[in-house]
Order: sequence, then C-alpha cells, then structure tokens
Amino acid sequence: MIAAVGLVLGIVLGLVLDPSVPPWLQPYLPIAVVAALDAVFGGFRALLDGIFDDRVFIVSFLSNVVVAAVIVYLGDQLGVGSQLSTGVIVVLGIRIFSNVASIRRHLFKA
Amino acid sequence: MSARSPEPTGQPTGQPTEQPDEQPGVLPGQLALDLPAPEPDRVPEPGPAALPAAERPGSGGRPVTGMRGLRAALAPRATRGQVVVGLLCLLLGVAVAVQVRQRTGADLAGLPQSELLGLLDDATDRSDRLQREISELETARGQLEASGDQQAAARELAQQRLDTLGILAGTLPASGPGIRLTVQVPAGTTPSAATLLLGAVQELRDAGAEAIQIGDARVVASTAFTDDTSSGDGAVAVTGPGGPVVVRAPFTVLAVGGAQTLASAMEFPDGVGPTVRRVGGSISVEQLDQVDVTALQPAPEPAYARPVDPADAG
Repeated sequence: MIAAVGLVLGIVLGLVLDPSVPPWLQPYLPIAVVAALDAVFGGFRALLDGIFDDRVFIVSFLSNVVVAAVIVYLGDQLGVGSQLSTGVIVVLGIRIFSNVASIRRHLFKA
Repeated sequence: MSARSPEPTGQPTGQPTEQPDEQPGVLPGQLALDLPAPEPDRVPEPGPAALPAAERPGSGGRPVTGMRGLRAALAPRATRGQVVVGLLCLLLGVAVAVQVRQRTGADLAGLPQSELLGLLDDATDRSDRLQREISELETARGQLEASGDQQAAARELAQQRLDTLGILAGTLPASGPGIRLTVQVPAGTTPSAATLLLGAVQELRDAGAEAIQIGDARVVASTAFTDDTSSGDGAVAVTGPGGPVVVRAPFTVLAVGGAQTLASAMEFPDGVGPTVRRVGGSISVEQLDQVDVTALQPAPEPAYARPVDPADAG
C-alpha cells in the first residue's frame, strides 16, 4: 500500500516539479528505470506468491539499478553501448513479461 | 514477509514452483536468512514455461495468495521496510515521470534518415526565412532611425526659423550685447520727438540692430511713431500691431546688436546724436554686454495674405 502510494506520489511529483536530469545521469536513467520496474514487478509477484520480503526487495531494487547502470557504462566504454542497452532491455522486458503473466494468473486466475 | 514460503528463496533460479509441493515442511527460515541476496521475491527466472505450473498448485493449495493475499498486502503497515520500499517506489515514480518528460517529442536518434533529412530541410528553410525576416526588420529599423533623424533635423530647423522670425516680429523676448540709448528731448522741438525716434530706429537698423525696444514698446516692422500732441509734454505714441504705447521723455531705447557699431552709428555727422543736441536735447549711449529686450508684440493672423507653397513659388 505504502509502495503504491509512493509510486503514484513519485510520478505526480516528477510531473509537477519536472526536475532536470543531470547530464552524467542521462544515459543511465532510462535503463535504471526499466531495471527498477523489473524489481517492482518481481516484488509484486512475490507479494502475490506470499513470499515478499522488504529486505530482499530493497536489495534487488538497488542492485538491479546499479547493475543496469554499470552495464550501460561498460557498454559505452567498450563502444557497444547501444547494443548492450538493447540487450539489457530485452532481458528485463522478458522478465517483466513473465512476472506480469504470473501476476495475472494470481489475480485473474487466467 | 508474513506468509512467505521460503522454499523459492532458497532456489530462486531453479523451479521454485515445484518446490512448495514437494517439500512443504522444509526448514525455510534459515535458508531464507542465509541467502537473502538472491532474489526470492522475484521469481522471474523460471520462464514462461514454468509459470503455469506455478499457478496450478498455488490456486488450490495456497489460499493466502491471489486476490486475498493482495488485499492483505494492501493493508498499510508502517514498518521500516515498508517505508523504505515506499520511498524506493517514490524514487522510481519520479524517475519514470522525469524520463517520460524528457523524452517527449525530442528523440531524433530513432528516426530514419529520410525523415531526418526532411527535418533538416525544414529547419534550414525556417532558418533562412527567419534570417530574411531579420534583415528586413533591420532595414526597416535603419529607415525608421534615419527618418527619425531627418525629422529631428527638420524640427530643429523649424525651431530656428521660428526663433528668428519671433525676434523679427517681436513675439519673442531677445537678449544679447547691445546699447542702451537715453534720449532727452524738450517738448515742441523741430524735428519733433517722434521724428527723432524714427531716425534713431532707422540708424540702429542700418547698424544691424536685431531687436529694438523703446520704453515698453517693442519696435517691429510695422511700428509707427506719432507725436502725442494731446498732453503737450513731448510724449510719443509708438504704435505696433498690439496698439499704441505712449512713451515719454526721457526715452530709453534698448537695441540688441553689435554694441560698438550701434554706438558709433549714433554719432554720425548729422545723425541722431548731433540732431538731438542741436535741438537742445541730450543723448547718452551705454554699451552693454547684456541687453534684455522683453517687450513683446502680438503677431496677428494676416487677414488677406496667404503663404505660397514653396513648390509653386518657383
């Protein structure tokens, strides 16, 4: 509940305040957002599975974000930034979809 | 955390779905605590194939999950972990919103080359158009400034003419170097006081006087001098556009002009000075650095004369 409220509040805050992203963060923000979304969907699924744990969620959230950013950074340094970003997005997308499928079965039994 | 079944936490990568059924009684606590880092909450790895299996056993055997579990989970519990989770979600929300905001509209990187070329052409056209507009506006501004200068010059010229004509016509006060002439003439002389004054004015004009005042009367082109015989004390009526002004001896004449020239003009042989002295009067001339001619004459609107357009005059 708190998480949902936080999410909505965050979106509203972001839209209202419209803070500017510092340039050094700009390449990492999109992929970090996707990674965090993956963590959130995973957490939601775990919640429905009845195995949700704050600590695990927090750790996985942060590590997801950091790892995603590091991968992008590495890719940029190696000159394959865009390809690697695409790869990360694809993987995270697959995970999100599978999580969503699980959530769907929990909620709608279908 | 409340109703979590620890089995999947222990083996996040494998097939967690099968595990609950197989070993429901396994000591879960230690496993979960020992291995917190692997993502037990996220059971994503099993892949799509495993998911149906996960759901089937769950639906029958675990009533805590599903809708009821969701409802239970939605009850706000303000533990520290929940608050941190909320904060993280808030952060995510901000990030999403910001990213969406930033990306809206401006992503050129994803466009095909042809569209980029089109955009470039558009931008170039637009820039050309704006450049043309800039040069036009600059030209217009230059013209306006030039015409503004011309107008100012014309106004200045007109003001100069106005000043000159005003001094000539006696509608403006004038000051400058000049002389003060004091003439004392006994009554009933020949030539009369009016004649003497007229002579003095003509001499002053010849000598280049630019503004003349006798007593309180400004002398202009149409000024007439008449002996005022009614009083018999040698008074003179100085009549201009504004009507007669009676001046009495001693007459004080102020003239703006070259002081030296004016003063010497008063002493020509057979001129004003000698004549006045001949008839028994006295005359004194003071050369001054500053003579203020303050008497004014109105400038009546001409009743018949009309100015001629300079263009038609030639």
